[in-house]
Amino acid sequence: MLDASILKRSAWGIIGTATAAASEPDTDVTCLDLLYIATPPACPLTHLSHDYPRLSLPSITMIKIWSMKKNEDAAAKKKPKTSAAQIRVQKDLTELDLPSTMSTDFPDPNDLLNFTLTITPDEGMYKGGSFKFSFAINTNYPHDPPKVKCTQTIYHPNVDLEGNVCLNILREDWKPVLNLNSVMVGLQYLFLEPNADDPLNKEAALEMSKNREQFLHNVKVSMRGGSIKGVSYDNVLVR
Amino acid sequence: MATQVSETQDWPGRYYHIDQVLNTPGPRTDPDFLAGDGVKNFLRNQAKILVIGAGGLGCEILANLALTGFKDIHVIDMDTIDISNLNRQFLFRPKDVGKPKATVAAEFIMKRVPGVTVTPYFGKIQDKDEDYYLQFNLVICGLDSVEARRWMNATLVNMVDPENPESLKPMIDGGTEGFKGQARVILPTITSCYECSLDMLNKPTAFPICTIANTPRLPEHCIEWASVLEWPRVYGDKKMDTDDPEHIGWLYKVAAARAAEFKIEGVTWSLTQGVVKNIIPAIASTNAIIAAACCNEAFKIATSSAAYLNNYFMLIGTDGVYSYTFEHEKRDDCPVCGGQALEMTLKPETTVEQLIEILVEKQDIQIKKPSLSTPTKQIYFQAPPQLEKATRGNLEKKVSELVPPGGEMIVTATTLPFSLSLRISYAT
Repeated sequence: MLDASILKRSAWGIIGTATAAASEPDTDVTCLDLLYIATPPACPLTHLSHDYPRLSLPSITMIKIWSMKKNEDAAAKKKPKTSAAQIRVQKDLTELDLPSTMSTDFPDPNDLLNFTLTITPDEGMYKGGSFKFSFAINTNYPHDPPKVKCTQTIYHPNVDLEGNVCLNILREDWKPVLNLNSVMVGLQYLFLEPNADDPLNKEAALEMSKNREQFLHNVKVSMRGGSIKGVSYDNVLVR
Repeated sequence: MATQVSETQDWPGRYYHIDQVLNTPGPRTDPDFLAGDGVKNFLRNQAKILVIGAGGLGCEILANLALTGFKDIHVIDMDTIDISNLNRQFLFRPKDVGKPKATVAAEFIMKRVPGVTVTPYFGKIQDKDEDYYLQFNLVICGLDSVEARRWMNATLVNMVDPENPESLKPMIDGGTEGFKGQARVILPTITSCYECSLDMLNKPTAFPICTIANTPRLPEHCIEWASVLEWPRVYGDKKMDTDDPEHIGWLYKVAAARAAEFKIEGVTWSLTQGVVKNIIPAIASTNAIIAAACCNEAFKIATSSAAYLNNYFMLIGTDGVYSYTFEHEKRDDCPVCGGQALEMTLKPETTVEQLIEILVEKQDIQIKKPSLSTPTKQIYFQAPPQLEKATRGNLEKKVSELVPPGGEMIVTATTLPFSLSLRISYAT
């Protein structure tokens, strides 16, 4: 086993001239103090002459790196300072190809990172409703997925009463190759095919798998703004 | 004279071992390598190096750089020292808990290694502008977040000015996760950049929200329940501060109650903190390997004494010891360093609509339905309908009213791999 105190003593000897180091009030001796032995021991060679020419150039490697740059296409000019996230959001939004059942709304058109999506299914049990989701994109997009919440209280097996949505690509299966279009299409799919196996609203999921008729009835009631088992839902009918 | 002072502290033989490398060329050194005093002078009296992060990797990097002979080192870190750092961040002592990492690390190194100046900055990398980053020869990153790396990478890529060789700053990036690590050399705009390899990242562990809500099986599920579902339910829009012990305490209490309800064991205060801050266990020795690899590259680039890493080194210590070095390729569709850039000279009276026509007609870029913006505003968006309508009015405006001379525009279109940047000037 290494004796740390010996190590330290020899280190003081080596750094002899370094008075600041010797006066360090170091009380906790841990294995990490091995740093002390890293200073090379005094060598017997005489010190090299001081009067060498002063070069002001950076190293040859740095010059060569630069010449690699010069050989490149001269058109590769200075890039603007638009952030990668910003460009990516611009790309995603301007290439959105939404069906007539979906539309976006930007409360502040200058803020591309916060907007709402309205889904009005034209088939399935949620037909006739208009469902709103808020999208919040952070500056780490597309590494981080957009944050999506339903802004209404709705009766749906995969959406809880707080508006959280259980959609795999919003969390565990998000990848930067996905885009806003994929998320929107995924959300719309939830209204065509609710999934009772991944419930967020357990009551609704249970009803859906046990008594489909009753479930369909509940969906209708909830969409009109009615109450189910003491919970009142928002009226989402298209006016 | 400053150089005189540092030389007096270079007692005989101080750099005996390192000078073995710098005094004579070896069989594999660059033929243009000028062995001897010139390169030593550059390393010790001129090279200015920036270290980003003074944490697990940063402490190692600072010590390595100081001991290899870099004497003008700057360090940025926005964190303060936590007691849990002390097992591996060896520049810190219990008395330092609560103090800024950058400052304490700088003081320690300067006390320990005579003649070295370490200039700390306690704050964010985003606080500094291009003028600040331009003063360095090299940048080494020991960061713990993807976001900070992306920012630093994009900043260094954007800083490259074709007219000014000094504006190209090699960036050496180290990263560790448990027994795994990587070191890479990024030559902004020349080699693949950090953004080019973003899709190689492991995605952070996320659990399906329905599992968290209904069928928790792991202590992590209970903690996620507290932070993802309960926090917003109870506190609404109030932001959770993962550095605030009261917030962590609340999450811990809520997660522990949930765990008790589902008979799950293992919810602890530190696991709660670990899950919400996405902390990956750090291993001191992995940090040491990766920091050493990064510092060797810094030394080689600064001195030309040996060929530098081209360009990606990976260490996988989870299944034996496996390492692999390869050249990660630059991506044409990289949003930071890829894409085309075009110089465009327009007549002062050219309208946005005319500019779009010019772009569409350009044979060499093959663009359809372009959308345009400047770094601060939207110029014309093809979709979605609301934004198209909001920007339609710009079509008949003159570009010169919207973009200053020398200003930049970003063009996106489905037909482009990613984006195209335009630098606009006006014919007089």
